[in-house]
This record gives sequence, C-alpha cells and structure tokens, in this order.
Amino acid sequence: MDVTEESLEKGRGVRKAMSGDASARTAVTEDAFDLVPELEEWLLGYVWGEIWSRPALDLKTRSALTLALQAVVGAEAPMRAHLVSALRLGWSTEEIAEVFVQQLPYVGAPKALAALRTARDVFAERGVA
Amino acid sequence: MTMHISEAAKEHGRELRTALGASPTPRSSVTAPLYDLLPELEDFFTGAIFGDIWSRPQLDLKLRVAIILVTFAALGRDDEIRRYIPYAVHLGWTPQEIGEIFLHTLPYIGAPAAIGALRVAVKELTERGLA
Repeated sequence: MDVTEESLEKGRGVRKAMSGDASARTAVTEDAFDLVPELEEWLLGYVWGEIWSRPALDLKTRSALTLALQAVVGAEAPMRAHLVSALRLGWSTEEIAEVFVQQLPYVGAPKALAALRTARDVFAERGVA
Repeated sequence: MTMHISEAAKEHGRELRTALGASPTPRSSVTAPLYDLLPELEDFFTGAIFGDIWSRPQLDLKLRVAIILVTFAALGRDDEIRRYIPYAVHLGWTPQEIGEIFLHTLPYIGAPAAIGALRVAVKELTERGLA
C-alpha cells in the first residue's frame, strides 16, 4: 500500500488523543490486522489520519457522532472503545447517555437501550458512574 | 383513545421546533393525512419527542441535529436528511461542516450510504443557494 508517512503520522496523533496509544492495533482490530496486515496502515492513515484529523470538525464532535453511528450499525466491542475515547475527550457520562436518548425515537428503543446498557457497563468499569 | 401528553410538554415542543427553524407543530401537507387518521400522533411528536427529548439540557441543539443527521445517514433516510438540512443551517452548521459530518460517516456505514446522504445534503443546500 502507498499510504503516506504524513497520513500515518496524523493518524497516530488522532489515535493518541483518542486512546493514549498511537497505534491502531486494539482488541477491536487486532484479529483483522493479523489476517490482513495492510489494513492497519489503511485504517491508521486513511480513516484516522485523513478523515478524523480534518479540521472542519473537532475530535470531540467526531467522537459524539461516532457513538451515534455505532449505536445504529456497530457491534459492542467498537462501541465500548469509542465510549472510552469519548470520556477521554471530555464528554461527561450524562452527555454520552444523551446521545442515545436523542436517537431513541429515531432508531427505536431496542438499539438505543442496548447502547445505554453498554455505556452503563463501561462507565461502571471505569468507576465514573 | 386519547393520549395524555401534557400542555407543558407540547409547549416545550413548539418552542423547540421554533428554535430549529421549523413550524411550531409538525403538521404539514405531507403529514396532515396521518394526523387526520391518528390525531394523537401530532401531540406525541410535539410533546413526547420535541418537548421531552429534544428540549433536554444535557446536549445543545446544534449537536443534537448533527447526531440526527448521521443517524439518518446510517438508516438511509433520505427524506429526513433533506428535511433536517435547513435546521442544521439554521443552528449554525456551515455547508462545509455539514459535508464533513457526512464524510465522517463513511468509514462506519460505507461509501454508498455516506455518499448517498451527502448527495441529498448537497442537493438541498444547492437548492437553497448555500452550496
């Protein structure tokens, strides 16, 4: 793959802000990266480096939007990772819960309540709620 | 069977819709036949959704609209995206930021859904002379 060093560097910066670790390798991604090693560069450079780092929206806003997206299309593991990042980026537990409350009438109770259940678990594990 | 939606909730809903730049009630030429069949639905939308959810203080209105835009993109609801673009503009999102909101959805919902949503948004912004 021809992902530029600039993209990878921007991606590392975003990952560091999101998780404290500059790598894109996490419990969510490691199996995929073991199977297709090039994916690590692709996600780090293009998703984290070239999309998340664009200045038109700040990281904190992107984090809230990603929680909303995960609630509709995501699985539990990536949702948990993004919940931890949202706390790290400065969202309060009340604000995070409210993302899913706002979605409830639009995505339906099952998806919104599932997201709130996962949020409550993550907050409890981290001792913030 | 009537619903018991409080006057306070409905009033908050009307205020909230006005703050979005929408009409105070959700009745329009499109929805009127629905409300004629189920009159309670109009109160439910105004009071239960706009009054008692959108009006909650935990998040500001501007972020709520962005959350709803990505939600509609993920659900593939083009008509709703079109309808909410003017509210996003009214609340201060620029056309560039609105484009960015949909670009951000791409890695999560895939290019077809993200680009489909972006196309609807650009068409609506263009028709309003904003892009």
